[in-house]
Amino acid sequence: MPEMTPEATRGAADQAGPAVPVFKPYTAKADFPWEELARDRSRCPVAHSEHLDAVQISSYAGVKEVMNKVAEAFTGTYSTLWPLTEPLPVDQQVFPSADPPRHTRQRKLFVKALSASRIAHMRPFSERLAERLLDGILARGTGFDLVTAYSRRISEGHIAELLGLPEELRERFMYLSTLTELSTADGKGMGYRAELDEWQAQLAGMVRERRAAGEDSDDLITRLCFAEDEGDRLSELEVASLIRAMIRAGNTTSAAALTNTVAALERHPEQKAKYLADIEGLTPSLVEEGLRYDGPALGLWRRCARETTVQGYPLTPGDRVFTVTAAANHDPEVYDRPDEFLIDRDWKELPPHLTFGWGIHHCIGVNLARLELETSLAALYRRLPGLRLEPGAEIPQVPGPVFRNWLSLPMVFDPVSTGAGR
Amino acid sequence: MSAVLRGADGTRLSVDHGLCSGTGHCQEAAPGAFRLADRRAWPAEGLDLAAADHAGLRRAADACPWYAITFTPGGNG
Ligand code: SF4
Repeated sequence: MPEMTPEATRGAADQAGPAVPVFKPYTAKADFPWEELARDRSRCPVAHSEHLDAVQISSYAGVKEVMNKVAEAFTGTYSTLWPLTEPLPVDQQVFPSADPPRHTRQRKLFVKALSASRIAHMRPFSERLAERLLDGILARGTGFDLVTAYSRRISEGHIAELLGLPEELRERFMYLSTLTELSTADGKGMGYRAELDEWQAQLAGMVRERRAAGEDSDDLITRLCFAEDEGDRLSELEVASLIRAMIRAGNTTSAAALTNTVAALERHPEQKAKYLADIEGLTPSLVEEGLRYDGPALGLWRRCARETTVQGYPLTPGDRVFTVTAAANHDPEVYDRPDEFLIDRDWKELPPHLTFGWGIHHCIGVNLARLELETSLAALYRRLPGLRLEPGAEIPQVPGPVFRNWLSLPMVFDPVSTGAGR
Repeated sequence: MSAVLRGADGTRLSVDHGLCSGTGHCQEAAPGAFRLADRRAWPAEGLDLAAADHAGLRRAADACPWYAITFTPGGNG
């Protein structure tokens, strides 16, 4: 289809029946998709997309309605990351891809460990980790890739600490967790099957070993291994899937949120200047704006399980839906100047962005993610003088419809005099 | 640590602050019954539990993604 102005498209739609979505994340995922998404949101906020082979939902109200109706009308068992045609094996239905009551049972095992008050105790750890990584970056010169030297290190450090992952397994697990992200690119998830299956088996083996060793430690993995549900332990594979989901979600999404926020800040010099003038005061609202403006999720898959409507659009069992979180977060009905990056929005007065979702599947890592983002952003901009994107560097975006993530972000900063006192 | 409110008829509403993560689902399910401060929910000041919308409070308890809310109607409620 040739490029059209919004007016021309509307005219064409009048003659040729209802408007159809123009968002094409498989073949033409734009680095900055906000314009296409705005077009879909205003012309056809709930509409069938041939490209996605799904009903695409792009308004805030529509996406939130799906999230609110998840328990009564939708299922995640066909996976939220890939548009599968068969449900996942039962042992692999965890968190977003589990439905109640299975989901409720799993979630109850985690809420305490991930609650706001418990995660607040991790702040000193979190600050030390950021400082240590920045010491290393400063010692190595004046250039680095934010993604590999900082964002991923921050997120893997936190999730490993929370879970109590043995040091020798960390690197391999973190590598494997990034394959999940890449596997969503074509909607099939086949490319990395063998490696991901092997990971699952390795995790199940770890569960078996911990169980054999007895309940001798208080870390989250050990507690999961010995958690009981009405007298029964969870299966090895279910515990393995839960751990895998925690590592994946904890590692890739918060790293992406950090990278995306830095990329946005670097591309908005006046906002960056504002931030540098009041790092302490503006960090919390910078974090929320980063998550809203360019959060780690572009959209998620679900499948209709019972007859329902979304914003009046009828859905029948078997219909696939794709909720475009990124479009909902830029909805002008909810946010003023939605396509602008404004780090001092008053989030106490604004409806929450939908990056953490809403309803029974509300992101369970929300407290950890906010902590990581707050400490790592503040430390980064405090410690590295003259920090900026490397001039002329090309920055690639992860392919596919599910994630938003800059895959590398080369940065430079001014040399620091290393006189006495440091 | 919990924020607890009791009504004249024995109705009890509590938010477990060891769990609550300040998401605001409770406010949406039971308008006016909760306030948010410091990333935690609290029963709204001056909330008359005996006269409050019990169906809304039950919805709030069900909607909380951190299972932090306990609502026990008292008297004949
Ligand atoms: S819904 Fe639950 S977690 Fe969210 S603010 Fe209310 S009590 Fe806290």
